[in-house]
Amino acid sequence: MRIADVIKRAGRNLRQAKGRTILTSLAIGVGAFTIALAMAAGNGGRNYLDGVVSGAGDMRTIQVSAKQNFDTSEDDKPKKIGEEAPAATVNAFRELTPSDRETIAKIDGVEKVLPIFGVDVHSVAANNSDEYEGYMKVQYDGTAIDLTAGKLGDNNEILPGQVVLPHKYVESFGFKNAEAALGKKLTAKFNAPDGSTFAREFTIVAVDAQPTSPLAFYQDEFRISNKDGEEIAKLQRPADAPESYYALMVTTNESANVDTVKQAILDAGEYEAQTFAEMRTSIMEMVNIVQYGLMGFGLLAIIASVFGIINTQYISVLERTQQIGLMKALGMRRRDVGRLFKIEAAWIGFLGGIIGVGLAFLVTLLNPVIADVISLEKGTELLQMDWLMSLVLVAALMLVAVMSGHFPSRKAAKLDPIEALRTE
Amino acid sequence: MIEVKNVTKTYGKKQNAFRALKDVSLTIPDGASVAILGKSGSGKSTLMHAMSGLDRPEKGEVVIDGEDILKLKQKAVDRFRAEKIGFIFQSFFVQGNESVYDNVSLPLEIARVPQKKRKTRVGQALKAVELSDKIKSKAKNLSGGQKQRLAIARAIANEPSIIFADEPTGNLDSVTGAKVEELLFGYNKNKGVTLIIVTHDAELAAKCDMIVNIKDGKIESVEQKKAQPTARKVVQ
Repeated sequence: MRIADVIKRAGRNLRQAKGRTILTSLAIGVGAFTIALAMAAGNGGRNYLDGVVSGAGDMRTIQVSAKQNFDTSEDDKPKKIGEEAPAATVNAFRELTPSDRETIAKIDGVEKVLPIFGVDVHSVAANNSDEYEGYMKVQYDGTAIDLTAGKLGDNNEILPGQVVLPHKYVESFGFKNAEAALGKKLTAKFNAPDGSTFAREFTIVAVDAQPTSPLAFYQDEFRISNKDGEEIAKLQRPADAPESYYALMVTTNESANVDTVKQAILDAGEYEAQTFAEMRTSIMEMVNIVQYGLMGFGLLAIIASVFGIINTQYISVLERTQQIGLMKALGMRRRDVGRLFKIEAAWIGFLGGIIGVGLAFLVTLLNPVIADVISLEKGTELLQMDWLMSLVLVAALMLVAVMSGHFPSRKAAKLDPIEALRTE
Repeated sequence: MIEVKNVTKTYGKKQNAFRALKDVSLTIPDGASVAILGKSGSGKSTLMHAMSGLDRPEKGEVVIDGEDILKLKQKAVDRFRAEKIGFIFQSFFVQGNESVYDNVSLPLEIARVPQKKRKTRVGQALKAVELSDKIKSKAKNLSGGQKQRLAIARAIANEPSIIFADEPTGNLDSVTGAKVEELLFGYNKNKGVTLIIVTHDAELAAKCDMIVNIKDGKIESVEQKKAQPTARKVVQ
């Protein structure tokens, strides 16, 4: 018998036992659904994190700041009556110095050290509004900023003289909407070391967006170029004080191991260092655990369904003893009879796989709801179908089904046609 | 020509051993219609199974067209049945859930006949049994007589040289039975196909060219009804 004919007959036989076929397939479908969903979650989770992390910085970047020494050793102890409470130590934020910058620049594997200046803004105003308080941040690298309006240059660069407006200020400044703020002037006043203030004008080039994700750190900050930051920081410093930095962004060589460089920095002095790779790895681990856990459950479901297939196919062989006998009497070969039942099992596996993957796909359509519920950015797809792997999954299920069908199909192939035709 | 030489078939083992055929020899000429007549348990079905390659007697030879089918490998025996033999059973064994077309197509698929050829052959076979108008019906919706005619169509679809019919009219009333007999004998005469009918019905047997009476696993007598030019003397 030609294989194409065997496949067709197998399909017809299954259609004649629709209920049983569908129920058996559903059992596999449950496993397939769980696994497909796990893959979709892993896929989506990884893609999402890649997006977040690439927004947060380069994988070769290490952010270095000064280690802050807050002496906490005595604070926790019970105090005696009458004992004088130690004066609340107002620790000034220790900034990094040019010598720190030199030390770090000399470390092996460091390609470039970029200082980040801290600027202290006194007030901001635009569109003839009142003066508002605000924070200003120096944009030191190509970190992506989600925008509601406007556009930044290549590599998310903010040019000197430009400012990105936090969206919360749009209304306060009396702009109709975010678009209306674009191109307008923003006046910021800064504290000078002598107690007076000095003003600077910026052009609003863009308005930022709602916090993008719970993982990404967000504050309402006016973002300006690093160059402007450097100039303002210089003006804010007393004339005789050395340069100081809020943080240093270290970029490692392409060949260097980021973690090794980080350790070298930590060893070099009183620094704190964090790589973006670390952040990514720890979150990725979580995604993987969820994915493998789900897959484990899916696998269990599939193992359970294997017995379902075996049982169904055994019953099928019993039910069709006569048919098998006839086919063998008409000269159908043992191998082909076995094949017929194996292919029926493969069909069941195929159907189960398609049902599972299809259901998983339907669930991915709920992405907007999921993003809404766990308050992710609109348009975030946390579940992304991995179509290639889904295909592999369906193929693997067919294989599993064929293997489950082995024993029943052997029973069918071995049937004695005379005996089989005697049963009436 | 079918030559059965000294065939012995035993069922079971040791104390339970039952010899269904005892040293049976028989020659059937090509194109003959033969009745194997006997009561139930006489060994007539066993003889049919042995001649058709369904069963393997432990002793003897079954030579068909010069080849001893008992010496063939299973694969070759299967091919021999698929290409040269048609079967008709008392209880039809048509597949009720399948269409009339698919029922007739089954032996052709087994014999690896290409799809196009299958279509014409199924059409011809159904025409021969006057079931052309039922080609798309489910077999279970047919009457008993129609089912047996369908079984005949299935048996002749692959143009076999031998047709075995096991009590072909056993489950039919006399009118529909007569129709089935007419079809079988007509096909036997027109196509020169050897027709072997296994039955306990003497009336049906009487319509055959040759009657082989079998009892307790032995051939009692062979009656030659008409002068058959190709028929040879039957060896006992």
